[in-house]
Amino acid sequence: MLIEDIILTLIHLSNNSLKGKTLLQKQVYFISVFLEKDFGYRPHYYGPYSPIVDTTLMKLKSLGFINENVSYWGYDYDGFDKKSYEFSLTDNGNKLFKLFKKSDRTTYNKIEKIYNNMMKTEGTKNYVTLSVAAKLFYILKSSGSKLSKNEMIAEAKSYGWNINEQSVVDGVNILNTLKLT
Amino acid sequence: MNNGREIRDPIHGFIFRSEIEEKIIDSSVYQRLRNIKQLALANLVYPGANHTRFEHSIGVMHIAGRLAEKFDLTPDEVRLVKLTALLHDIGHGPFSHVSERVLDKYVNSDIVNSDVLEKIHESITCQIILEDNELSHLLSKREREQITDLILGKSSNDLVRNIISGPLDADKQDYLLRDSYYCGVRYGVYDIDRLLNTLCTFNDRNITYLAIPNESVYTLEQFVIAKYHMNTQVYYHKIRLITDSMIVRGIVLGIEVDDIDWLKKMYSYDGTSDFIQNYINWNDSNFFTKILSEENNKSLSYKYFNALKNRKLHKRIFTQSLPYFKDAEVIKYLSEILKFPNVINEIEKEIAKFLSDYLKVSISKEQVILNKYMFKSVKEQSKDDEGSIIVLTKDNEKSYFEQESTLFHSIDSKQSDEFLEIYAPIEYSGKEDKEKKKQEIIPNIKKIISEIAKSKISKR
Repeated sequence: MLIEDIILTLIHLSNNSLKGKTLLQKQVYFISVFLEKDFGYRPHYYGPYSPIVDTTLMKLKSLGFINENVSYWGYDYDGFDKKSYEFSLTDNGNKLFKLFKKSDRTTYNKIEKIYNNMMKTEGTKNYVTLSVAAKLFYILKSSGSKLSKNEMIAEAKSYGWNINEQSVVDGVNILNTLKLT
Repeated sequence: MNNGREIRDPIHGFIFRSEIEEKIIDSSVYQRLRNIKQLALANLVYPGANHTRFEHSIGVMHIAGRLAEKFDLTPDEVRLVKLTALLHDIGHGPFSHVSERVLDKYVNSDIVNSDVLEKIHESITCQIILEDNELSHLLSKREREQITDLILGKSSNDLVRNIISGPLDADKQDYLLRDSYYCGVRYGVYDIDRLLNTLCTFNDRNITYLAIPNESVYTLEQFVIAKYHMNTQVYYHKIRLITDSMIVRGIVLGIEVDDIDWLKKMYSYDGTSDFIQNYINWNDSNFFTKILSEENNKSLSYKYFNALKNRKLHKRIFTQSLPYFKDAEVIKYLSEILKFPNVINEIEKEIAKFLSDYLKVSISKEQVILNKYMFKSVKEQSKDDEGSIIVLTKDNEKSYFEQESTLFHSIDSKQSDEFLEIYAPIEYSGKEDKEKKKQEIIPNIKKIISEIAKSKISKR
């Protein structure tokens, strides 16, 4: 229930246009961190990833609450289509969101506050930097201790994540601003 | 060491078995699998689908053995992985997976703990392995515990665990080919030799996974598509959904209305040895014989199983994906309807009333079945609960199947649907009659379901 409500709320708060699956996954990740909820995040190609969030998104789409718009823009070096996803609430999705907001104002307010706090932080609107911040937070949380820049890069590598020094600096800045370090 | 102990298998050719494997296959508890069909009553759609858990389990053992040898596992590990594969389905009851739905419904949740509640079928399997007399004489306690740990996913040996359970496990590799062969379809066919040859391992943070090198992604695409096509054409075939639902309804009526003691005993899992001792006596054949016995012939369960025996099947009179109901709250409520059995009963009762009035025949609420299920997109089906299939890039780095497959990368992921269906014993005199009746039935069923859902929502 909560994951559904979070996804609907995040799309609503993005002016009904949330661009990118990775951005959505990472925004829900940080929301879950602040709400102290375990949504089953684990390491994946683009950073911490939750199959439960993915399944819930799929369910909301299949029930007709979320519209997914895919844009294609050329090819990458492997010949794959480059594509981006944009999620918006359908009329029914909007109704469901409003029902949630009305029935559980406290949770809605918490999500809105966390979201606004994230948006005020430089770099969080970009899925790449937000993803790096999520990776670094995952690494720091898993290790349970403070790590140097090089240790973080090495640890990221062991998860299959390539992060350069500048990205570590940017990511740590985001975490500092969000008071997550 | 094959010692000439071979079995001829239509899928894998000769399968060699060791002395201990042979003794297990010869045990009564294993021989019972000869009478448990792999696909329940799918033979009512595909007449050839009469294969059983017996030969499937031997096939899984064979593939697990090939994988174990490929990865140079120790002789002890090879023995463990093959025995686990051989015994992994020993806990199946009559009609294979269909039984699990009934077990879930009648488990004695006051007695068994919450871990067991989530995996009743696996728990029964493990209990049989740990407690069966013959198996206890053939395998040491330690070995039986290692096998049950593997089945429950508790083993610390990752590679062995991945061979038994995961997106590329030996079970899937066998059942796709076997089910395809016996159903007489070609949807499940993939190049197993190529797949087995190319599978490799990947060590990720001290956990060893089964993986596939980037250059062999095409073989994997074929495997994933085979799984998808088998789902659409066999496992979710319209008639199969109806027969499975009729089996479940027949058993439930036998327990709740006909008050049949032996049925209650068979499905009320309480974790005791008495339950297991009784459970392992049952299979598809003696179940059918018993439920269709003279003493039972006035019961509702008899009617259901007699209809199944004679292939007098219910018709699917309503099938819609949930957005068809238009109203946001109704759609949301219906997506969770399986949590509310009383509401399902109410809907079935009202539909029965409508059908009786409209068709001028007597249709009882017990004869109407509501079924709800989700059909995942092909992209979703490439994963399992443990996550995506790992692909090794040219630089030997970790990637994922959906990233590396050109075909799957381009597939739109949103084509998953939740369906709500109604089955009932309706007769049509011809195509025209069918169309005419459907035009009347479908909107009325929609109205009944919507109204009941709305009334429940308003009372929340």
